[in-house]
Amino acid sequence: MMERFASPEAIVNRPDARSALVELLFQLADDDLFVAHRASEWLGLAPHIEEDVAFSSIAQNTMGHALYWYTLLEPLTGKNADDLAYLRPREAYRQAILVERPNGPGLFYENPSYDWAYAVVRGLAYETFKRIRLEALASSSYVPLAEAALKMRDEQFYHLYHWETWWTELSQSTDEARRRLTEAARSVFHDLPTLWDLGPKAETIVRLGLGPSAEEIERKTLKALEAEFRRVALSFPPLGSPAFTGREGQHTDEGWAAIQMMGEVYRMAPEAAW
Amino acid sequence: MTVDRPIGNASSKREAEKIRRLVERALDNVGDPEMPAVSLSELGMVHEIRIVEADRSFRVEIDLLPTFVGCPALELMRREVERTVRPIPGVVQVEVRFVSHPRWTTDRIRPSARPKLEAYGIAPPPCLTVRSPAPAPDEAPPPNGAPAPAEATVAVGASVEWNPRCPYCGSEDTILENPFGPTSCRSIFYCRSCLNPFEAMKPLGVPVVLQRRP
Repeated sequence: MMERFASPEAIVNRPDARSALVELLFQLADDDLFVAHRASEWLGLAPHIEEDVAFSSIAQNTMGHALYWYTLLEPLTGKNADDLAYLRPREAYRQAILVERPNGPGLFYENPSYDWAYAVVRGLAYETFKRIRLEALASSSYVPLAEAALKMRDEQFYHLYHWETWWTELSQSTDEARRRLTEAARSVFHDLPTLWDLGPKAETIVRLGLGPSAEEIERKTLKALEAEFRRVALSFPPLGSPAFTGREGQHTDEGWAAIQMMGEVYRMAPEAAW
Repeated sequence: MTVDRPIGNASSKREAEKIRRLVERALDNVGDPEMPAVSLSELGMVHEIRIVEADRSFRVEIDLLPTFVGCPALELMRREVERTVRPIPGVVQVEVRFVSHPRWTTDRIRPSARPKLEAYGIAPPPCLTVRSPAPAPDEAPPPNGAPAPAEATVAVGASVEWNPRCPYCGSEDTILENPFGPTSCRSIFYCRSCLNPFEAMKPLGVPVVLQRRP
């Protein structure tokens, strides 16, 4: 029987377990922080106003998930959620490279030339992965994490449904749409393996039952995505082998720039009450 | 569910009971900030009330279950609950916590809230209970005062299509327009009978199938 950690107190004085849990929680928090941020950059630029409502709703829910993960980190790190989100050094961030990629050339306030096909395919890939990861985390040995995963899974159902709908509709529309989905899928799949990498504490995370293994998540995610591609008769792109995944603290300049932008106002006066 | 810490003598026990009833009544009157027609209690968001004796007066601890983890109205709810409970005589302190376990599901909504939501223009979520051989150990008992929804149970693994009745004309000829609406917990439907768009509360934690647009 795997040991279960019922509360922060049960794990905070166990250095190996605590540091592995912190690592895992930063992966969850930073992934959702970035997905929410990239989504928010689409506000006002989405294909139609209903999509602005939907995408910003997904952004809001996902930012709520990020906040919840950072809150779970508070008793384990002794820092508050805002500081954890905005004031860490570059190499302390743990988001996967796929989620930090920009939406396209330009910035949301200056000549944005974002690619909707990329948003759809990345949304489909990330939310498929997230569903599988949350379902596996529902049996985490860290009870607060398991409970949160179960709660978020209910909400996240709608996010995945949303991208599946776009994926299906676009793939059944024009040749241009299919071509652009195919190109976007190539870019997304180059970075796809960065999602399931568990970083330097992988062995402890799995051994203590804090989270599922990378192999399990990879296998289930690829199986689910293969079914999506088969359903719409698009060919399954090859997986890339990125030089770094983000889980070890290496990030793109675009990713780091986004963190600096997100925290710009907060850093001006971290003591201010909002 | 309500739980007491051990309280000394009989008179303070009576006092605590009185406060509990007043707290419960107060919570029945705290409307959801984004759906004021229904109270937090009716929505099944009140998980636990603890009355703790503190030096001849009482501290009230209230655990609430957020409908959505990132709901931006949570702070408003916390303030509103504190503002409503604080003036109860004998109460010196009110502490509101949001907990994610047990997780809030739409089955926690009291039957009495459903017509109120509908009258307010929001279709209530489908009312389903999974019929399982034994209750899952991590599932919460139904909220205080809410009888378990007896009818409309579905077998494990089965799911039901989400097909809300139009709150304006009562027609069931409705179609999902956008799973996302003005708040996290609501979606937009369209009524093909009276040709009005309307809002519906999202089912959460119950097995539903969403319609695909034809």
